[in-house]
Amino acid sequence: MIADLLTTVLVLAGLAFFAAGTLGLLRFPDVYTRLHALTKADNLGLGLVVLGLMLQAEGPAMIFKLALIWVLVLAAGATAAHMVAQRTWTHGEFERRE
Amino acid sequence: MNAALLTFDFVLLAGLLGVAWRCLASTDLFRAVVLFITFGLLLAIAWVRLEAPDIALAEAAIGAGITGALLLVTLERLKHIMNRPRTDTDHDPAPPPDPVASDADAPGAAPTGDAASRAADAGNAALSCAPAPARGRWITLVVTVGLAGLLMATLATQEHDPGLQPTVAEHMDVSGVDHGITAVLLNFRSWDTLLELAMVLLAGLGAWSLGRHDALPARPTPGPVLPGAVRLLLPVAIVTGVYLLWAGSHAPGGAFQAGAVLGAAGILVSLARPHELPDPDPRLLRIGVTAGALLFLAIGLWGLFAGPALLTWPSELAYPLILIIETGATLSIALTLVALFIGGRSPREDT
Amino acid sequence: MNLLLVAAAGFLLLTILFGLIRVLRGPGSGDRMLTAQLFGTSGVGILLLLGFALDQPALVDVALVFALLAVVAAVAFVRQHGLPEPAGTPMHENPVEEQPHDPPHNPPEDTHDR
Repeated sequence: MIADLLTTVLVLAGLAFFAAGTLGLLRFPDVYTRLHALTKADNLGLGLVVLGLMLQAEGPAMIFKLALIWVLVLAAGATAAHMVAQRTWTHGEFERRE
Repeated sequence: MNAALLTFDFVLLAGLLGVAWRCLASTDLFRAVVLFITFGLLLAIAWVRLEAPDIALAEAAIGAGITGALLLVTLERLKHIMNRPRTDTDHDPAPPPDPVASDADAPGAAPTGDAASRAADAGNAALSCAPAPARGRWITLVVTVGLAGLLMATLATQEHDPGLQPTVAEHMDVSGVDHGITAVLLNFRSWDTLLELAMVLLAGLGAWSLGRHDALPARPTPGPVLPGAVRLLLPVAIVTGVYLLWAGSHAPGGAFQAGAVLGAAGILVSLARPHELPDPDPRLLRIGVTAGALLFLAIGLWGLFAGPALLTWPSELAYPLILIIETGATLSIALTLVALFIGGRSPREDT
Repeated sequence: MNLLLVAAAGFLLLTILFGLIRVLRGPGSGDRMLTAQLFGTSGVGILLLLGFALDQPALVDVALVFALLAVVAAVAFVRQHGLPEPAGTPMHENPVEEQPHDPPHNPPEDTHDR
């Protein structure tokens, strides 16, 4: 019962962060701020959702798998955000028309 | 609960149709490629809702890891090919696909002069062509709506038919595995799977027949982020691939999914390339690429002479045989996908 | 509980679809590439939530594959798309045209990393 309540709170809090990330993606003025909004807020939101789901998981294997997924998303998201930002910084926002 | 799921499905369907439409209607090829990647990932969620997690796994691995990389690389090559100056107007053999070591921006290859810039203009025009004239739009609309109506009428009138599910469930105990899909793919209908492996092999041979690829020198990145991420992701990807292969005997997973994950890991390495890629012995590579289909065929033939029939195995041997076939198939699929991405034969090959 | 999880998955699907507006609008190619990010997080979230709501543990594996491979497209974009890079040795099968070819060069931003 308490676990269910905690899951509800955590998932809803996670959704709030997802919503904030998408709002930032749509409203922020340039690619760096948009990357920043999307990567940070969404990763935190996913972390909260994962935490909420861990309370519903059966057995340590599933809990470990969920944790692994979140760590992977963190690593992959940070890498992708860094690389897209770096490329935009060195090559400009638009494609060169060769 | 059901109403919520139904709403989810309709939103997903609307998203799929919208993305497909924007992807087809896009005049900018890069945007179309990104939308196509998006479409593949949405499709993976759609497969989940169709209760086909096996296909969702394959679609996730192929859509996220392989299609995107292949299309982006193809786009880059296409730009390069279309923008290169034509020295002769008649037959100009296409250069071998060497996407990984693209020399698109080598200073010597920059187009010079009027002819070159005209060629570049033509190339760019071809890459982002104007939308087709609106002729026939109404006919298309009528045909589409009519087809959709027919399909929905068929769905509404069709009786619920469990298909072959009861038959498969009845024979699960002789299949050697505990997962229905794997039992069908590797035992009851192994002929189909053999032909699928042959198709993968043919695709690889097709890419190899076009030429050789360049040497693949190291491409250091500014900053430690990409090498570090590869160092973290690669072992996890390999473990995940092996896990999916192993899970195939009792849960969604199997050779195609495992091969796609391992292949995507290989593509990630060849993209990041912190060190020069080792060029494997061409003979070993050929053995690896054909191993899946050949092992399958050999075991199938053994079934013809020593067992019940062609491509069937006695139930007590089924599990080890399926495991051998799946392992070989995983290896071949992963190698073929990486070879398709690199494109072209090894430069070390003699003839 | 399951109803909440399905509703949450639907909400995440909506955030993805709204996020796609940014892909359509651009303006830069970096903006378009943000989809990979979007699916890396929201897509994983949808799959996990559905997996628990429908009691299909296999969906967690699908989410694992999503999380693992969402970065590949972004890396492909960054490493290929208009990036100057040291040219390899061209080995054309039928070299009919001689391309002037400078020796491989490293762009300045590629050399100072370690």
